[in-house]
Amino acid sequence: MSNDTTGVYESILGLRQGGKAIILMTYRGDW
Amino acid sequence: MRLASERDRIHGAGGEVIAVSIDDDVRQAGMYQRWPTPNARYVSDPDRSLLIEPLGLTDPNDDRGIALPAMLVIAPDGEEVYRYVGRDFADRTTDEQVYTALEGLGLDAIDPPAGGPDGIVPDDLRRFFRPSDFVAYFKGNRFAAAAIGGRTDDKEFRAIAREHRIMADATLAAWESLHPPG
Repeated sequence: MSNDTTGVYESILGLRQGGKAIILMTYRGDW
Repeated sequence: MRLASERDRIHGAGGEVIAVSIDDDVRQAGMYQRWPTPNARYVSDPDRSLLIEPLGLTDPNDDRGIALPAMLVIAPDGEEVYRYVGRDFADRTTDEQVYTALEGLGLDAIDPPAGGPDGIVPDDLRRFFRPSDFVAYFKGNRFAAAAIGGRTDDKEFRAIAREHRIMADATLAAWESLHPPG
């Protein structure tokens, strides 16, 4: 699977720093 | 927790872990205080507009709109190269395919990022999950899955129960590696 999430990744979070990849995990919360 | 226990491998492959939930940043800070997951950055998305909804990760069967447990690997150019989305809040399989996808990118190692949440740790942590309950919680998951899997001859159902037991075992192993006995 190969969804392009560049828009979310760059415009909302601005998480990119150099050549890093991101492992994005979600969790249910309320722990 | 499991990703935190493999952080050297992740950073060595050029990856950083971002953990996202609908908790506000204070709730995330309290959880992190209770059981830190080193080098993982926390992002609060309480109305799901930041990441959870745009990425299609909202649990349609939960009244609070929590995120389904997901694992995405996003390459430096923004391309999503791996996606796992659980079927419900507790459906988080083992992580080997995440590492395979990350390592397949062939990136240089990175220095471990600081990580952590953005919020202020609340004074009162009584409503937060206690570290001392963690092992019992996942052992309970493990034994319940084993028992339920043994109540049926349905192969698909048994496979789901087995998967849940393996998830609990992997989580317990990760906890022990981060919190060695003694």
